[in-house]
Amino acid sequence: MPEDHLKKKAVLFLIENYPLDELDQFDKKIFLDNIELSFVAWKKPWATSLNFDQFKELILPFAMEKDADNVFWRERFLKEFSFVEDSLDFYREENSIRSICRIVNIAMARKYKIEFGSSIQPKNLMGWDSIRKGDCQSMSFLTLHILRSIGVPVAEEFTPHWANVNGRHYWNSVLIDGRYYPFIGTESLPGDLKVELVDFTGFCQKRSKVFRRTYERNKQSLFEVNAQLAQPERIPRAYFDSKYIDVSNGIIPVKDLTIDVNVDRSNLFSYLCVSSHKNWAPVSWAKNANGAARFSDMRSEVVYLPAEFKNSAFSPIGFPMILQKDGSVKTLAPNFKALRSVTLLRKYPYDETNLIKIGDSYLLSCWDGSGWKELGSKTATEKVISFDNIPENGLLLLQDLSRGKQERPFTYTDGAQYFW
Amino acid sequence: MTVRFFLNISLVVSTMICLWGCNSGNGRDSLAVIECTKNYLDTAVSFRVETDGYYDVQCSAEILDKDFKPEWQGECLGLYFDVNNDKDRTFGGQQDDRSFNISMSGDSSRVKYRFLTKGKNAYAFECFLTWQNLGSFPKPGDLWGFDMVFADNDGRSGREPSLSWHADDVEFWMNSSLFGNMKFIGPATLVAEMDDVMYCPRSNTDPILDGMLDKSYDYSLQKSINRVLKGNMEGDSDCQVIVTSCWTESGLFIYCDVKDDSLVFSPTPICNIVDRGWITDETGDIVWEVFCSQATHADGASRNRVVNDRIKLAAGNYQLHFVSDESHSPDSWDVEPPGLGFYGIKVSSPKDVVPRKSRLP
Repeated sequence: MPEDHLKKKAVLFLIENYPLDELDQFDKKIFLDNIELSFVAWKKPWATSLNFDQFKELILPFAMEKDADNVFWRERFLKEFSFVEDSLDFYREENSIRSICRIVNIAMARKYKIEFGSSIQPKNLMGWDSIRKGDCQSMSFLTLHILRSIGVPVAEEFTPHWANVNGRHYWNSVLIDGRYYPFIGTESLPGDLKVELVDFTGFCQKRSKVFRRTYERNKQSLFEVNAQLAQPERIPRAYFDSKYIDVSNGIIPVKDLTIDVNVDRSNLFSYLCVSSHKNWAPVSWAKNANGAARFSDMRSEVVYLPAEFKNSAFSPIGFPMILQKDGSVKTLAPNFKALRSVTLLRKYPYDETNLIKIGDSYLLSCWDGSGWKELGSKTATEKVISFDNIPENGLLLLQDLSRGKQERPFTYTDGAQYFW
Repeated sequence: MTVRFFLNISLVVSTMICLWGCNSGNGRDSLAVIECTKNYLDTAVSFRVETDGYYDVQCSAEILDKDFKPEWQGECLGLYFDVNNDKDRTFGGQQDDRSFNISMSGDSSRVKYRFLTKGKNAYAFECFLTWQNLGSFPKPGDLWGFDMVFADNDGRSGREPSLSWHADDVEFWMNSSLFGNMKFIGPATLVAEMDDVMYCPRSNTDPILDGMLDKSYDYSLQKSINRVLKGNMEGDSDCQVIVTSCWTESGLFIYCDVKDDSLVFSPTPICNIVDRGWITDETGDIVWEVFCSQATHADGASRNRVVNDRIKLAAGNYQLHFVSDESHSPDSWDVEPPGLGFYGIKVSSPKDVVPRKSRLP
């Protein structure tokens, strides 16, 4: 296909999906420069095998931003990292895209670094130029732009919430021979990164979902589906963005999960939430139809709370449930008629600071269907703490009232705590 | 050898199970096999051992390198047992010899342990060894050959000084006749202290493995590890290690209180075992698991490792487990695959009956 025709297609694609909130800052020169420079990148030897659909998502999109010298960042990065092509001679045995990531990582690490917990995060490429450090989300943004500028087909992926610890995570993925490999700029290479690295105790942080950012608006996203309705309903802010696709299937172990929905409910959509920082956070949505909502590609061996979004908040519409490995569901409805004693060692699965501390006061609660019902509190006199008259089959939460914030729901089976 | 094993059907998903009598590539009869075929495999197979004896375990799995550091370059503890106390002049020559290394780098062979930092110049190791791993269950009054060595790493170049409890020969680990003794005694038993005997009192409850001393150790007599085997120690201020111990129905607990003017240990584990293979007994206790320093390269990318071990199993029911992580398995190799045809874990009866020598430091 002639290049001019492809450039017209590229212009159309960018305009059709241009972020509405950036229209007032539209800069025609940068827009056209971006088209030209992206085609330069597409001609790099490692990029020529990409088809237009891959190119338009993985090379073409770029932040329309200039540096302090009024130079478009795409142009600056293209020059700054032009040495990569020569350096490839040293890595003849390796796939060239993997080698480029290796070379770029080394160069990036001299200038930038990942740092969690900082209150100031780079919000754009100018921000990176001055702050030089950022969290995983910021790093994935920077890495994506550097690599796209030199024709490496790269995307950003993320999990909105871990399934069994608090927090979320971002990383990049690069297309090599038709397969996406995750990696993190300055830290890891494609083929090396374990997003869910298992620690030496065998504990593994699980991704609840894996989404890949796109430039194209996803017509199947909640935002777009809702917008098409004659009477759209209020949806959570987390779903205002429609530029991502669900790529969980094939990356993490998934099953479909269908929940019953009371036909009398007026809501059009239901949500599945995972626990996050003592609250429930949505990771998936589904349309209610005929008294049910079917959720696709849900991570198995995770506890979900079915919910609806009403009055700007999530309300549970059922008990938490474990989606088991075989796709069956175990509902965690506490049985207040079958009571037992529990002996607990910790309040969260993360580190030593989550162990029971002698002298601290602890509150044990159970999810009763609508909220955390307090079952009792006591002060620890040993390195374990026991509570009597605890309902079987419940989802429990232990809080240290004396200190700390890290808590996580757990079930109690055969004398052991299983954190979810 | 007659063996019978059975299979937990519900756990077998996308797993090839080699049933009774099948021969693996090496010609040995397999008791149980889990062949890993995909990412996120998480499965277990039950098997039965009819008679006490030695069995071969092979595990081919993905193990990632960290900043590799040999154990002896970090602070580490070595435990040596001559269970029958035959004082053999070799170590590993008899089936009752056992050695275990516990290092701050996180690589610890078949030992459950906890570290607890106690400020800038002090920390504690608390270790737990099952009787299964030690190969015998003692009774009060039993005397085992025993010694221990502590490698002090002060961040100097080269191999660092090391201290022993009893032996005074740097190569004592090759000669169990140089070991001291561990005497298993009942709870609250009065004993006359002897230099070459470490008294290990019985406790009715397992200590909580958290790096802290608790009541279970109350009747233990403390011993110092203070014989300089090599290198220069600069007195008590350089390094002091005080050891206490106890034994329970489950196993042996050893607690080491370490004061060191210069604490240096590997900042990260020397490896990450991302595909995990292990064996549990009827009670669910781990009787064998993969650990880093056992694993050798299995061709292809450096992360492809294979472990070949010979272990003693008592007659009984066991479960073989294998869990693969998110990537690099036969359905999607991330980098160069291993050269071996087999990926997973298997237990088999050995054709030869001579046990391999225990791992040496």
